[in-house]
Amino acid sequence: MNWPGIIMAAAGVLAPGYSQLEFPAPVAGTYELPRLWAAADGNILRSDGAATRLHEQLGDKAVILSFIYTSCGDVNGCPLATFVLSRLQGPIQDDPGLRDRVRLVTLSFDPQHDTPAVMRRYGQSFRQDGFDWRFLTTESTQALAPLLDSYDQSILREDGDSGTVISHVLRVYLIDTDKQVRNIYNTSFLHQETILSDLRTVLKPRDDWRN
Amino acid sequence: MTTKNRAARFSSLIIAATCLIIGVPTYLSADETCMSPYMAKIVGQEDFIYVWTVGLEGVGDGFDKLVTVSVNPASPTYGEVIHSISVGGQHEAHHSGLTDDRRYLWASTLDGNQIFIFNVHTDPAKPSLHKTINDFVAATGGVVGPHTNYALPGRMLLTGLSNSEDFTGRTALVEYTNAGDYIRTLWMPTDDKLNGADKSGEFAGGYGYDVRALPRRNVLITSSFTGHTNYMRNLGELMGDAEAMQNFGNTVVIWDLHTRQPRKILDVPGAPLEIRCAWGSRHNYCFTTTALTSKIYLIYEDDEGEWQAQAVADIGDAALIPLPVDISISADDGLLWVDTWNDGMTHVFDISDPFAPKEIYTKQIGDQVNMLSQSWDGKRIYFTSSLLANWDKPEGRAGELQYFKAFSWDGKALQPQFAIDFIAAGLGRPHQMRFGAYSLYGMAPPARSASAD
Repeated sequence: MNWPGIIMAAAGVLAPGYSQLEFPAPVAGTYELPRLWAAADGNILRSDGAATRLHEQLGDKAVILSFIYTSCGDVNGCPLATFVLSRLQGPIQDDPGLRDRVRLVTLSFDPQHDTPAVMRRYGQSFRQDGFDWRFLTTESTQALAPLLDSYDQSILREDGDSGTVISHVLRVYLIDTDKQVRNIYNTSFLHQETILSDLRTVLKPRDDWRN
Repeated sequence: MTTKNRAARFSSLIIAATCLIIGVPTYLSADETCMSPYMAKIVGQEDFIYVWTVGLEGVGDGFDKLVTVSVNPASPTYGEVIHSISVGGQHEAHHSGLTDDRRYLWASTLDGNQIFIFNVHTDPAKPSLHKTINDFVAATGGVVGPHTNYALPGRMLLTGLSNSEDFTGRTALVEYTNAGDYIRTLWMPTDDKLNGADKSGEFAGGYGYDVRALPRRNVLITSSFTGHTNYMRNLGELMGDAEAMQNFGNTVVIWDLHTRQPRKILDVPGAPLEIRCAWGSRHNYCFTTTALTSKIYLIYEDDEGEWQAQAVADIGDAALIPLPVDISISADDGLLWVDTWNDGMTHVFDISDPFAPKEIYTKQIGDQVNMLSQSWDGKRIYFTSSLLANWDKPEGRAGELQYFKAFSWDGKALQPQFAIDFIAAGLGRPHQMRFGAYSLYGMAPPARSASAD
């Protein structure tokens, strides 16, 4: 459950990320995105079950990192994040300045339910063929905790008869190739157009795509 | 769940949500209406109000402090001060603001330039001091007087009131991470450094005061007050100094929220102070009031997408210097509450037509009045009294000079619920209020002991 998203949904309002951007997208390169903090590392599991480190999964790409849980039912929460990330794939593939330089990473904060197999199946619904989008989880809540803390993500977990609800403030992170967090998006401001502008801003243009 | 089922479920969520879009929004009970739209919201009754309080010599320990008042009628401590934490010294405690996840309360000081970061999530009834930022002026390149503490995603945006070069009102916006690490300074546009802003009128003084965001329109809006040389000066002396009285802000600046670049400077003469933006999904406007000219201004996006400012109503008789201070907009955008400090009055305006506010109610709250906060459902209204240490009235009726007062509002009249005399209680001058609740952190109030019944 994403608190601001709940208010929007109760007011009958879908988050802006589901529709056309209502204002001109920022022009890439005309503004600054200062470094906020170093993206933290931690122990994670890939969707094939292999244990690795988050930094290894970030690699040398610009990364959009999203924390979700697959059973989230809040339309303006985790589903919004996955929807927006899914909408990034086409424009990234079509842009020579972004293609092969951007990676999407979705990390679950429900390791009890979101096993590697669950994340693999979840990812199959959204990843376009060949796109670099990784679906990760962790071994346990103990392994997850330091990652949540370092990304300033607090969660409240409620396990009930009808399933698990995890309350949180939705945050999606833009991480640059030096593994620095450069922007944070939440329900009110998560949109593919603004993310694309930010990616183009943080990635230095390559000589080959200018020609 | 199979892949096909999950994709279908995802699609059905979108369809169901689309069907939810209705003409008249319904609202959950949540907390006061002045908060950043990025923030977590309280669902239901608030349990506490955190009152950032200026120290008063001779009253208690004389220090600035964060006072916690129990405000849930179901609580056995309803109406009582249940906790207080002093920060040592009198630093001109003024405004506070919660982080987007509501785990921390940032409380700043206009003279000492400290920012005290309180942990309000471990035990919401007993905030504790988590961190103090003591190098604000140096870190920011000379910004003085951190005022508004406004939540952005994962960050805090602060307004300054002044600068360390000449202590006038020229100042900046400042960004910090939620952890309290400095990010950047964004100086307000001035005549000699517009930074791309369109100066639409006569003024570009570079002053600051409050900030609000309208994410759906990609705008930040800032207002303008005065500098350290004025706000730390005795009010009577200041008002007798004609030259000093020229040094007040006359602008509202429209910024590009995403790029943090100023777009347009609007003339709003007479020191526009608090800004409150409408909540409706198609209501692209905000209100501010001018302290010196006693007017309500509408800051709005016109049909061509340009932001404009227009005086839309008078507040009392400007010749009597009522001095409008804090304002609050109701969650349904139907009412605007305006406090006038000098006469201790609150005024309620019907703003169903934002271009033509109509005053529908007034009430004397105390000998002076400043801040007001309302619950999201508008049924509970809270007031405090202090404006600035050197501006506050030195004398008044017992219980009416420095106070916290709680009222209910039934749409027609305020009914008093309880009041706390902050002088008699040895606390000081109460200023900014912020709501707290156990429910935000998955907690329940402590069980009452059997002996309490």
